[in-house]
Amino acid sequence: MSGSLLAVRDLHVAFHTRGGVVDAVRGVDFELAPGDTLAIVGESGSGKSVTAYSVMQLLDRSARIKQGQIVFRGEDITRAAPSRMKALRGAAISIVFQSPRTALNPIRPIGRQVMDALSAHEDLSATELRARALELLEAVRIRDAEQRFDAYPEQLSGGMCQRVMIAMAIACNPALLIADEPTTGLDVTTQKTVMDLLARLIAERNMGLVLITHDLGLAARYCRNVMVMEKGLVVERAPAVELFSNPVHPYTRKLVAASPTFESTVQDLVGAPPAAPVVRPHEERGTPLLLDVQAVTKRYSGSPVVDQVSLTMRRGESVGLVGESGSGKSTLSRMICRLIDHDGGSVIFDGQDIGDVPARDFHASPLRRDIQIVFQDPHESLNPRFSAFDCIAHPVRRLLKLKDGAELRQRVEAVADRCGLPRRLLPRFPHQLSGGEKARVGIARAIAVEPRLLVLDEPTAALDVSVQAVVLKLLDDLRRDDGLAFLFVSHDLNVVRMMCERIVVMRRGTVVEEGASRELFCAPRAEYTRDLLASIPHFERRPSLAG
Amino acid sequence: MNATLRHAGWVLRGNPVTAIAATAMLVLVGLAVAAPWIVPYDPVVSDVSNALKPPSAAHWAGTDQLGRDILSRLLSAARLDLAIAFSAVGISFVAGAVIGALCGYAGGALDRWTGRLVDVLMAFPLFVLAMALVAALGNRVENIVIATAVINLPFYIRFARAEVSVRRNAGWVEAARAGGEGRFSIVLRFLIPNILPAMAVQISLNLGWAILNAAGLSFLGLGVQAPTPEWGIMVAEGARFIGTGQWWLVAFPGLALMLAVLCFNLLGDGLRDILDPRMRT
Amino acid sequence: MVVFTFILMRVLPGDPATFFASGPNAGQEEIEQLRKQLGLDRPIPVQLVRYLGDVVTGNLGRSMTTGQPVTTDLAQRLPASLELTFFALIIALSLALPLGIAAALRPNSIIDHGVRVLCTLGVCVPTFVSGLLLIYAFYYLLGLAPDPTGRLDVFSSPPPDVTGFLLIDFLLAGDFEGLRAAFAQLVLPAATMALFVLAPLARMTRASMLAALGSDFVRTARSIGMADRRVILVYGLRNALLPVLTIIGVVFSTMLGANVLVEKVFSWPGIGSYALDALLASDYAPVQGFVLLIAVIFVLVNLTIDILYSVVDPRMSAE
Repeated sequence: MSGSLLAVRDLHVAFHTRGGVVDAVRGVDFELAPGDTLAIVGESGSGKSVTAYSVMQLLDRSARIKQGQIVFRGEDITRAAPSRMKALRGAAISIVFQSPRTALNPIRPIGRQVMDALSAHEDLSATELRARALELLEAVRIRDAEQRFDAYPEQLSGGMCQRVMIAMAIACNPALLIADEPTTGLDVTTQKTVMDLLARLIAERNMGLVLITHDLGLAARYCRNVMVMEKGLVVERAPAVELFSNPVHPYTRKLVAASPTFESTVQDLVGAPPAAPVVRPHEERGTPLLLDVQAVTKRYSGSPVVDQVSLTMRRGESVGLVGESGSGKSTLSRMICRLIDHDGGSVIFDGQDIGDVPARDFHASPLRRDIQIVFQDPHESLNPRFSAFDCIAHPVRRLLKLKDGAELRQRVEAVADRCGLPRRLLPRFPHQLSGGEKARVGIARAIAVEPRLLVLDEPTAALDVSVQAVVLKLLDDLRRDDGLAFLFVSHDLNVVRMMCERIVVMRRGTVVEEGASRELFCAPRAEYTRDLLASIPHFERRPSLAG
Repeated sequence: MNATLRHAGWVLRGNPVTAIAATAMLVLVGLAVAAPWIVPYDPVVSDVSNALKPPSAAHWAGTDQLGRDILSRLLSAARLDLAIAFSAVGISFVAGAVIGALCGYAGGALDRWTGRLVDVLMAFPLFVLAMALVAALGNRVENIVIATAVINLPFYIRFARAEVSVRRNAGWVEAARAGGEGRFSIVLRFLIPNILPAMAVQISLNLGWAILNAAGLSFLGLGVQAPTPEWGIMVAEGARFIGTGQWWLVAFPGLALMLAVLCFNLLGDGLRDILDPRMRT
Repeated sequence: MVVFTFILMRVLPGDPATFFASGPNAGQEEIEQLRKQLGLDRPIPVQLVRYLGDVVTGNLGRSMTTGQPVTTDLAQRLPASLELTFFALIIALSLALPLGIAAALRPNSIIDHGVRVLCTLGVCVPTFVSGLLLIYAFYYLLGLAPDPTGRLDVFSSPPPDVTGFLLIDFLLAGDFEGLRAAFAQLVLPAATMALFVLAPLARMTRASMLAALGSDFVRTARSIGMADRRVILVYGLRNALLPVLTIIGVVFSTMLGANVLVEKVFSWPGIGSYALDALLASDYAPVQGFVLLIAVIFVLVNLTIDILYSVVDPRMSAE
């Protein structure tokens, strides 16, 4: 059995839930040579993580391997005894989990946790253990490892925690490393350094890597082979270069198309014809700006989260607000929406200073209907006790004072149509809708009162890429056809590039750079913008497929 | 409405224990309401010639030291005990939900102080607090209700506060604000209805606890006074005879207490399972 | 808490002066004089300060029923209550922790279901009922337990008073016959109390152990091939102990309340039955003293829990 490090053959896994038996994995085959790298790509529910956990026998109690075979270095470990698995885990096969903060024991110093990983397989004295653990922490580039040795996970950043997790995983030099969405939830720049570190360690120690990810860009950049899964089935497998230049299966095609490249437009993502450039009606001289934010500041417990930020928007303009977590972009967007008060500066909307009205009273302002917002997570942005109809109708009732009746119904249905939400879904409750449908309800609710400024707070961050693509297309249409002004808040520079004419980059509460999308993207001036750009995981499509 | 009922039926079929508890509770409430008409004997008139008789065909649960029929007294007592429990929990639920939800939504210093006060209060021996309250207010049934309501209050405030503060910044609450909803109406029309199902669990569990507390106070001679039939008093009266073997004086009111509390607790646990299967403990 | 007791005193029915007056026939003048003497004519804040001063110097007033200072009465009876409470807590913990852990290690097994039934029933039976039924079973039917009155039967003589805890005092005196007698008296009331708090303790142990075992970091520990025992003890149990500690505080304070009931059932000469007798006799000074004492114990217990917490959770002390 030389040549193969890990072979999975015809794997079937089922979950026994209250609702019945759910087949999560339905026949997965793959093989991995020593030192080779394989990415398993799929959207949520594709069974990619379940496949990985089956290899480690770390599945939930409710899961059963129904059939198939998992062979590791020639040994069938499908139903290996617990003691055998214990000997393999950590020593021969390791795993790096998603969300590193919860994956580490909160009340144990990180150094001790690395020592735990070593002592599970090696018989070393306490001093040796400590020395080895220190070496490992240094190997994963934790600065001042000596001082950090006794730190607790909560004292470290997410990226640092993930490095500790990696140190634990490679502690006993395993032959195979499984990384389950190792960078999800981390900032893009951190994401890149963590992945680079992982790739370097893999290469140095000649480990095999199985990378589980939803991100095609990540897969393309770090793995030689890619396997695409959909609903528990493998739909396509190929070397990375080939798969992205020439996807065969329709699902893969859709997925590849929906993943934005540096050249793609919103229309490319869903395979629509290119759109004509937006022509805005000429503005009379002296028309006030739609939005004029002047040096606003917001402090939380003394320290400024947004520090003297200014921003302007013309009528119908689309502006992107880009930054990583902690940049203050969400706080700024909420101040513009008048959901929170600012501590200094002014927010002038269409010539009127709206900062005078306290946020708590702004709901009664006539300008309330003019500024609407679409929230980040569609799952939690809908009232669980309201039907889709009521969610959309709520602002119409409150702000346009429409009573229940034909007029209200017509308006809600019209806006649902506009957002591509089938009318038959209107009586449904949020838990009966898919993520994409919920996102449409959220958008419909915001545009139902015909606002003049729409703030979009990471509207697609919680969505799978194929859903993201259609939602972006919808938003782009609204912008082009209805002349709606957008403030698009996102961590994803590339998405913002496609959606907006102008981009504002924020970091730690201040504006780092501002400029027209294309210029900023092609020739970034600030160092930070360049870092951000370099960190975007992406792949270049062959010319044959572009456009 | 029809769909809701169908859903409830479907859920109960999957949770037989909860269904039984719900049925038992309905039966209990029915018996308590109908007590004055269905009791076989007058619960307060004594018949000394018939004193301390063990359970028999004539007296299913025996008679007490004054010859009164224990079963009749049990049924009449159910009426009083349940009334105390329901009114006390009702008061503390309404007050607690509103106070807790408002504090939780307002946040800030007021919320922090309320939270701290409630935590301290909850950790204090609440039964002692109830005793002191009844002592301070006077030995009357209304005061038992008030005392029980007061010691239940912190639970609801804390619960409503916690549930509201996790939802305070949820997208749908901010969306309601963007949709032109004021602060008070967000709490009353959006947040409170959303935490009601979770609070139902708390209500059910607290009803059991309220019965135990009321009976405990009466057992000590606080609140309800003899000869009014009440489970706690009946146990207290029977206690004198346990050393001489007349077990039925204590056992039956004890059993009644236990069954009532069991019903409410099972119902509460069942509701929790239905609302959140992950919380199963 | 002291302020709270003070407020309680102020809202207690009746004028304290009338209680302290010579009798029901005391004239208005005498009452007025007493009011002045007791400082009740002063503004409330002044009274509060005076009361605080009294409390600090240990002057809690005098009990009308026993004729002794409340402080003396309470000091005499406190060991009885504490002995009962601690003994019950030890019984409850030594049963609840293993049961909860066993149930969490094998969810939905027979042990788990058994623990669940036990817990569900345990909280439903009021202490005063279970206490009486235990007396019926072990004293009347089986004759195993002694007459359920007080801390010692009439035939034993009390040990030299050292700590006030009979078990310890007998042990110190080397009187094993007495130790046995005191133990026999203690078992039933302690078991009654333990039964009552067993449920919340076992339930919380099981739930927090389950949560810890299902957590991501336990999965991590398993993924590096750590031995089961180590996973369960170091990664599972240690993390699960935090919520259990919190609930021990709550349980202890529940027990302080339940003490009153259990002491009444078993005629246990503790502070609970003392306060209750006083309360029923409208003798309020002991009640205030009792509430104050409970408050002090409560503060001490919470302090201890906080200290233990920082031992188990190193994050607290690291900050």
